[in-house]
Amino acid sequence: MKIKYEKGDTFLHRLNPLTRLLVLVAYSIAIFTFDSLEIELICFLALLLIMALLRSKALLSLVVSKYLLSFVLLIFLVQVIFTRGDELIFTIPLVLFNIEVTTGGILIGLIIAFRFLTIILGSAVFVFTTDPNELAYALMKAGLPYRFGFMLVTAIRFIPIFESEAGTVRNAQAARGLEIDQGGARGILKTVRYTLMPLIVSALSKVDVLVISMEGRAFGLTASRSFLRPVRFGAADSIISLTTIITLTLLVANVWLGFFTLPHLILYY
Amino acid sequence: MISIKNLSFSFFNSDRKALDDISLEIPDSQFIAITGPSGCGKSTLALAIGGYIPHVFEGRIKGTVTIGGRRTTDSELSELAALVAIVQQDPESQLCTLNVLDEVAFGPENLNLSVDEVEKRVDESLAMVKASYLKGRQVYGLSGGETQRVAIASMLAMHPDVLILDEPTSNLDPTGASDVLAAIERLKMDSGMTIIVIEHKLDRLMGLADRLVVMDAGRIAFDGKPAEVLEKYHERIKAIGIRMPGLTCPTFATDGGRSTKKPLVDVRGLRASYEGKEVLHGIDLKAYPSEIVGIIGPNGSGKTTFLNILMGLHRPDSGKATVRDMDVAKVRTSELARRSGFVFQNPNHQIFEKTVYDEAAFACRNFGFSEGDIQASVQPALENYGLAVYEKKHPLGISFGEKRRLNLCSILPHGPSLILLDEPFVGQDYANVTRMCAGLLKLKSEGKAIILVSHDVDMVYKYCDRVTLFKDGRVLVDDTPGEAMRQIKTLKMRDYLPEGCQDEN
Repeated sequence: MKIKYEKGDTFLHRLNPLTRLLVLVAYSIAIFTFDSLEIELICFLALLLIMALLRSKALLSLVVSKYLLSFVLLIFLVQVIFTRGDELIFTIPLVLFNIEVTTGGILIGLIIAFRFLTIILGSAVFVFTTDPNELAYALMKAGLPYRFGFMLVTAIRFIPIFESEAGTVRNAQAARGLEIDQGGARGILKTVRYTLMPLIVSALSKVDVLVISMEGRAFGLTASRSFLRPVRFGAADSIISLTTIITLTLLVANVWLGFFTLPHLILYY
Repeated sequence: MISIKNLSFSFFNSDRKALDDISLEIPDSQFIAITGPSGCGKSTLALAIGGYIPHVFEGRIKGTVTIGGRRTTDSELSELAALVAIVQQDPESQLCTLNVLDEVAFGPENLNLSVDEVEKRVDESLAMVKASYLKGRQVYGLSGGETQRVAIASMLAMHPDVLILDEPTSNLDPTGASDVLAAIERLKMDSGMTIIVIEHKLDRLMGLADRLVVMDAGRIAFDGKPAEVLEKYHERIKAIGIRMPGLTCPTFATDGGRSTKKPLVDVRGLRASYEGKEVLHGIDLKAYPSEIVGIIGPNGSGKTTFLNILMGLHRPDSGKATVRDMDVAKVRTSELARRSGFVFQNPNHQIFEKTVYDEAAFACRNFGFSEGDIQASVQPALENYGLAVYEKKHPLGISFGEKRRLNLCSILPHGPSLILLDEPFVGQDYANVTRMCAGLLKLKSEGKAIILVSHDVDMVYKYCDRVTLFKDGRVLVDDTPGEAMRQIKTLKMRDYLPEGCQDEN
């Protein structure tokens, strides 16, 4: 169920990574500006369609994974328990207070649950279609200082190396009879001491090598640097970015100015 | 031209002089080989020529380094970057981006060159090391030799006057090392650069180098034409602990005098996969008590997976592997660990405790030995390997060679009968390798079975009773050193023949 970037040649893959990032952030904000189950369901179905078109087993397995389902269910239940409105359906009597399940509670529970569900699925689509390296380069070209950009690039570069080193360290422990998989505070303490320390030592030993390698190629010589990678900000990027920005601005401005009425549930009593 | 005058340097946290009054003139376009035992100051000298001393690594410095009329102390490091380039030993850690293209473009981009110029330099540099085919590839997934060639290309893209290669082949398998050396050879022919190669192993360099500098204890011991230096100071260079090039082919034992006893390790038809891909396609191998089995072969041929299976760290798909009659697929790792010991390649990954003594006692404590028993077995082991004096010291504070001996020492006190070693010689100088081999011979005489995986082909032929060649998940050769050499010759895998034996027919 691990979602990671996969190479592809779909329309989404061809967009500039910043466009995808913008749409994801804008959606995550916009979905909070109104309460409409219908619109959320449309978004949800649209995301499912995108995922189907991407033909990724990993993405589809995320939809039915127990982590996602239990997370969404938890959000739903919390809302049902603590929100009341409209008609009472039934009451669960408890010792100190009663849980009143109402139609309003169920509706708001569904709305909030779908909000998170669609944001998670949208993020998964983003991660699946975006090469983190490409994103870092795109950010640098868009004005992020390159020193910060390369912090990101080197971090991504060394993640798989540290992953494989962590595997070796665990093997080295097992080969000398250390059984680390015991739970509890002692287990955690052991893990930190015997796994994290060797990894930190190994990471520090790489720092000198990296410094020589990067400084040796004039890193930081001038305030700006050139980039060989071409910018890919096409017509589709412009149209999508512009539409996204306008929609988001309108929705956010509407919260204060009230140009038009959006569905809002008012659940106080 | 590089001019070094009376250069002395000690790192800020140490009193020892890493460089002690070095004077050296290197004319343009010279190809110079520098060698010497670990800690002799050869890498420090490279850092001083590149200006990293004193710009990055602080300490007390005396004397001057001048490159093309520029004093390193008066120049910015980024200015020096266009003059001197250093390729380092560890191929993985010196790459900072994810794609070959980004990596080679990194330097020229930092110089803020135009996109066309960057592109031109990328293509040129990759072509110079015969790595143009890698241009579109990701860094992750390259072989060691390919990674190192990309590292060299990324330095060439800076158009340096001086290229320093600090042990460029010591982390590579023989195939990768051969490719890198061929690339260096072409650079000597095609470019007018000054090339400085720092190496422990001189064989392949002797034909290339115009000059050989032997260093010892921070000083230049000998300096001159390679053949002359080696001939004139033969005994003294040997005494410093430098591996002499093997010019003639030694003879190896061919008698198949294997004991008739039961094998300690018995592997039949072993198949195993890694990340869903089969990497071992039916391995048959035996190891007897009092025997050293040496496994050689290119990276990715399944050698490490094989060792992991014998230790119970990786489950085979099919076939059978037994260690002392225990089926490795059925017994728990901790049970196997009581009877076997495994030394991994990087000491940093296998040092867990805060003192040398605790480190050596680590396994015994996990197995629940009494402190009295631990004392009785750890103490002699530490003494045996010359580590008893460091007993209370932090294991990360001792030298690399000592760490490797400590790693070996740490798997002995619980009395394993099988010892597995993955690349035990990497990063060690000849003196330390010889010392470690002496340790292995002693363990052999105590009746232990030893299986070691190594890229150091010479050492494998010299010290092992069996030479086993892995390729693409299969055992191609498994015989006595003499017989294995003959078979490998007919396979035409000359990188896996001992030095001095490669050119005969």
